[in-house]
Amino acid sequence: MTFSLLNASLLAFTALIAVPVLAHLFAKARPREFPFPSLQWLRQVERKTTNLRKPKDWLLLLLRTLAVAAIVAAFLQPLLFSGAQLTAANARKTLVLVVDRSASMGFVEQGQSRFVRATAQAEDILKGAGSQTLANIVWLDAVPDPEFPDPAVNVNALRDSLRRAQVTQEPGEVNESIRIALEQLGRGEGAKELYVISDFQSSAWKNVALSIPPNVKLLTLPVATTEASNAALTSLVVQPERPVSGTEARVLCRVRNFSAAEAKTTVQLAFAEARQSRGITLPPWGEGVAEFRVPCGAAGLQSLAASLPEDAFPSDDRRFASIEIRENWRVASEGPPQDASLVLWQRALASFGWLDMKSTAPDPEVRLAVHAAPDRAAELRGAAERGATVICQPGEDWSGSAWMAFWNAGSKDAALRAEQLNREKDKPWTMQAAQEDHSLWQVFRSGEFGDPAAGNVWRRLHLKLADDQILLRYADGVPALAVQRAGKGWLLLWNIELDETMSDRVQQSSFLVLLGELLLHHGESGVSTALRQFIPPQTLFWQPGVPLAADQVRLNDDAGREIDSIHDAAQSPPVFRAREMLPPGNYRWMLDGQTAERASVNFPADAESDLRTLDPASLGVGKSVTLSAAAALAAQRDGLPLWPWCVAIAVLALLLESLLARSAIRMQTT
Amino acid sequence: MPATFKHLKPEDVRKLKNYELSARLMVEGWLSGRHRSRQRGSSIEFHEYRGYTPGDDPKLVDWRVFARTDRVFLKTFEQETNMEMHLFVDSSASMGFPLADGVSKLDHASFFAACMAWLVVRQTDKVSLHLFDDRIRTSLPLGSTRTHLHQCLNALENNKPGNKTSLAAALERSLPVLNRRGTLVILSDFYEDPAAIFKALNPYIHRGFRIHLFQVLTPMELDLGEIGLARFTDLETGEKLTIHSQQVRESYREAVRQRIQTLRTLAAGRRVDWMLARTDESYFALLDRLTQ
Repeated sequence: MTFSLLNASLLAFTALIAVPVLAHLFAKARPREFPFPSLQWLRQVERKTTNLRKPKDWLLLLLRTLAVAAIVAAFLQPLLFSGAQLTAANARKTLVLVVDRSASMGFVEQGQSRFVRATAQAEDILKGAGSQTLANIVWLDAVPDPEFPDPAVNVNALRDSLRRAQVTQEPGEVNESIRIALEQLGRGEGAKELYVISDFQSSAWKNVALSIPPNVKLLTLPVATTEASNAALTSLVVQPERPVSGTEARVLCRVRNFSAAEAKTTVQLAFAEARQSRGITLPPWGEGVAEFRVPCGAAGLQSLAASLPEDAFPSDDRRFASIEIRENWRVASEGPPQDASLVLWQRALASFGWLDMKSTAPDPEVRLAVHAAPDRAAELRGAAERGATVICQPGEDWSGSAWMAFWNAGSKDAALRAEQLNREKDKPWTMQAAQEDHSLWQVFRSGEFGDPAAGNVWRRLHLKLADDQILLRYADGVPALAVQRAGKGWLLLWNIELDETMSDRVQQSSFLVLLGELLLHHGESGVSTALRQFIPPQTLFWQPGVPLAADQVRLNDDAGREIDSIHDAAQSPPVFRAREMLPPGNYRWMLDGQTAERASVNFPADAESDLRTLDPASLGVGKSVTLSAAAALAAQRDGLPLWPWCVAIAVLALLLESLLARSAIRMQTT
Repeated sequence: MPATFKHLKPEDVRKLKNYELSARLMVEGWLSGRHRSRQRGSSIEFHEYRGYTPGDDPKLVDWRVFARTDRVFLKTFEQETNMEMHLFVDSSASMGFPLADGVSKLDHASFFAACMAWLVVRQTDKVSLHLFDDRIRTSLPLGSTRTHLHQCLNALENNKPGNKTSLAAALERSLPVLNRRGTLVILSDFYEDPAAIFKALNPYIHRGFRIHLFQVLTPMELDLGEIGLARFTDLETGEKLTIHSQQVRESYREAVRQRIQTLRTLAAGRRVDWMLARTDESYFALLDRLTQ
């Protein structure tokens, strides 16, 4: 920190400081006369107080001297230069400003968003740039880019772009923005200064390791002022992802509390024309889930939106999703021709209106394999992993390796063993429900739909499975019905013979109910939220699968406004893409005026909703200087004129002196 | 009573009609025929019986009681006396310290003295007035007439603050002329050695005088106030002292408190009444306390 004087020629006037000292030394107090009845008692106390008169006089002297010194100093016009010693405004130099416009900069503090504060500070810095200064701005967002291709002297254009800039709904790519900024500085001339204006959001900056060349002065300007608290909708999941028309879908809204205090909020869900809301309590730094059940009406694509009451950071208070309501589920069945069990299965499934037994689609939602051949085992598992629900009754000739390929368990040498009883002589095998608290059994608890385990069986496969996979088991523990999660779908092992010569299961009233519940519970998983959902920096796109002309397809937002899109015909199949990253919302791809596809863009809550910030000093960059205001930067560069402070000190000292002197006079005259 | 006396205002007279000096001031020679003395004597007014103690006059033994009870009691009587009051008003220079409303400490003391004189004369008892500084400047002998009262009031009105205070000297000079015991009322600021004052009072105490000391002080003397830096001039000696009142105020208060406490302790030890007469309080407050 150094000082310099603009009017050093006036230094001789510092001698004036001696005036109050001399005046104090030579001035003589003339107290007024005061007749008093007797000095007897005053004489007793006089000695004790003689010295006490001095401090006030010295204080007056000090104030008067200070006032004169401050006035003289004001005329000398001192300038203060702080430690950073930036290059003077009129020197040849290059400065690059990295301005954070990621989503967290939209947080409103003290009536002003962080981004507004950042642009104001950036403008202040540019305002102080001299005519020799080359400047540029690098925007810190999901895809950082410089305002000019190279640093330029046209600072006014940069200031203008600062005024027009808006905060994005994107996460910030810190390392990339710094890399671009350093690259820009490398193209500049003279001294190099890099300013980073950001809220230094902890989640974005904590793993950033800045590597700044020694010839570049880095200055970080944090714009966050308060400890922010925020509640965010972090996910919106529909189960199943593609529900069938006429059924109910489950919508799970996950809400996170980014604050140290418990929070209560209300989640509102809008689906079709209906609105639902749920109150939810969020523990500190925890999360909660609001569950909704929505009736799925006519088949087709539908949008839904969840929202929280708006807070100081509204960007993450909404979340969008698109769901496809199916007319029915397609079923593909296979097995030996004329197999009695297969025929019974097909008749049973055909009784459900929401199953399409005649579909020939290559990837049906439900695969039924009765007495399947061993070589089908791997194929069936593959279908399940792709998302299908596979019901398989293995054939009696399944080897250990086939069973391993299907169930991913057991051993190659342990072939499935068929067991059969004499219907006339032997006591049949009976079944019982395992996992009694499983939701599958809920519908049967009233007794109205019979016993799901009812029926006698005289033929089965002998195998062993883990307890948590078994839904129905025979009295001796052999599994009758088991389930396993496989990739995105389900594998259902059916070990109950339906052939009426070996079983009376199909004659039980609970049979169809059990089948229906089994499919509804293990229909499409729908836990994936990736379907038609885009989170920045992802750009919204649509790959129709068939060649379409560019002018056939339009992109609209939910309000029907057309969004600029591009047609990438180079890809195969061609892709339609939004020209830039879109704000959160529901969007529609229109084909010849009809909705062909729906998609949603959501806020990157995982990256941007936690508004905690870090101290830029903790970034560990060697020569960085942290300042709280751009005005201070100007002071570093141009020197801070101290004359207003001198005047203020002089006025203050004179004011205090006046008050002190007046109180002394008042005391004398009372 | 004409309203031409400075120190006895008509409204004061109206108030004084409600006062009567009685029990507290009872001493021998005080308001004969209307008040009783504590002195047991041979009047016709029976006072009380009390048990015999060695040394009592056997003539006072009530033999009838002895005959009935076989115990020895004395029969005592109230002694009816004449009553006299001697007013001593300090007229030294320090009493000339001005108060608000154009009056001085001396005037404040004179108001009170005038009231006392009026009360005594109204009750056909006798009052004398002694104005002193370092000597007796005016001395009016005992009298109980209205003319005598007028003389006292005129003397108070014509009185001016004089030189240094010397109550001791005034008391010593007056001792030979005060033959009968009575009541001494002394109004002064007592700016002199308390030991000297009580040394001069001792002969009066031994002779049975009832003594009331009224210390007349202004709030300024008690508290010093916020005068600020000033050159204080002693009204009696003309000495000067430059001092800042606020800086010595606490110590000064303590010194005053100690002096008053000394005076009060000495007075209590000799059964002498002492009372602070603040000039910012009405002198009727003193009368109230005196007559309670």
